[in-house]
Amino acid sequence: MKKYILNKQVRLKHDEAYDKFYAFCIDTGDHFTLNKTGFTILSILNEEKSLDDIVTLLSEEIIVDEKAVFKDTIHFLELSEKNGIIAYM
Amino acid sequence: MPSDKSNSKIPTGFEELNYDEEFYFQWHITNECNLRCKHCYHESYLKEDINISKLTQIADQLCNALDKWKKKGSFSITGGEPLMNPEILFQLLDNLENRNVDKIDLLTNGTLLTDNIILKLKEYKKLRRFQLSLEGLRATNDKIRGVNSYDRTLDAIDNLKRHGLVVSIMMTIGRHNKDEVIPLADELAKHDVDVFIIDRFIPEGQGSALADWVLSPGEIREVYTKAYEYFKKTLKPRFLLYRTLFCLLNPEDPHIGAICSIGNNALTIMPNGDVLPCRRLPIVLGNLFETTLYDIWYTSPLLWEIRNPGNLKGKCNNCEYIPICRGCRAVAYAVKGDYLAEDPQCWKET
Repeated sequence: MKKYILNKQVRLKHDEAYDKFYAFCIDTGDHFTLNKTGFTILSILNEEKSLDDIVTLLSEEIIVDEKAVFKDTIHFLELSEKNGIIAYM
Repeated sequence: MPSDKSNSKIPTGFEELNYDEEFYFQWHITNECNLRCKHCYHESYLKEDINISKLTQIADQLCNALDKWKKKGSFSITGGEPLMNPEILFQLLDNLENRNVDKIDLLTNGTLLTDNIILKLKEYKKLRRFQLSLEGLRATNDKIRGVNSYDRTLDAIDNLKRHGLVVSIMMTIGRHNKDEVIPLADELAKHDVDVFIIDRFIPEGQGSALADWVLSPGEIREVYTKAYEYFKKTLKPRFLLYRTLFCLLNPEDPHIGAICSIGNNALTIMPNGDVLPCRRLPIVLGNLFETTLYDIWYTSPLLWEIRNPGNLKGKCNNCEYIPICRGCRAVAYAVKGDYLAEDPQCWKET
């Protein structure tokens, strides 16, 4: 099963003062503003995880319906991969 | 160096802070200097193993960041004394001239500015201004900067002006020279100096033993008020009053005051590649030969702490002028040992 992991050059930041969430690539200088769910997904990917792992952990951290979140998670992972934030293992 | 608030939106967080059009790098290319000013920020004047290859590596990082952030780059090239090795300086300027740098100021003590060097420097179109320093009138200045340095600096000013170049003078103000700000401004007018900058003395580096020079809030208010009055009636030299605390004199005037630039739109680069939040706040955030500028800018805990005005303490916390001031973090650090402490020279009543 395909597994995902956060790119080693990416740093995550929760700016608590303004409740903003970011992903920063320290190689390219790209930075992305995230919502809380996106930030949570990327935080989970500090260690490699499968899609099932992510959805399960997401359901534990944020009260969501697994089926409903599945499609959105796939889309977010694709977007993150495209932007060099995560990699496939 | 704080930013010109007239061009910036009120920052309320990291994204907003990054709306500034300009990013400022104060770049110390060498520690070597031929003067030994009593109040200098430098701890050491040892010659660095600096060469154009290393400077180019740094320039690559700075200019790549400007590209990425779509910022106009404003550089102050300084030292030490940047003209201690003019060939390396020229090579660096050659490099920057062809890159996405908007403007460059050369911060020099002026003593090594020969006609030949000035003629060469005139070739660089991005070299906008020459900034020299004086600490008051002749006697006061020479006590701090060395015998004959006042006359040598005036000679350098006259020489630069003969070549049609823009000259600014920096005066670091403390208890020792606070009464000479306006008299010096009048002298500079006679030499056609374009810009006069005053900045607060901060006891660090060589100046760390001079803590009694630090002005009280009342003294700072008095000096700033005089400078502002001069500014309102005199065009040359033009006082550059984009500094923290000036906004207290007239919050409605967009030509005075500035938000502290730390974590906002500026960084200082040292000769060995160390990155400081500000030359006056000597805490190393990282080194450009060991990590990337992006890593430092995005992940430094110090920068994040200072970006959040809610972390500021004392009078600075919840101050109505936070969007246009935030106090000087370097003075707070030097005087109170805490860069988040209230600005110890702020005269605003709580």
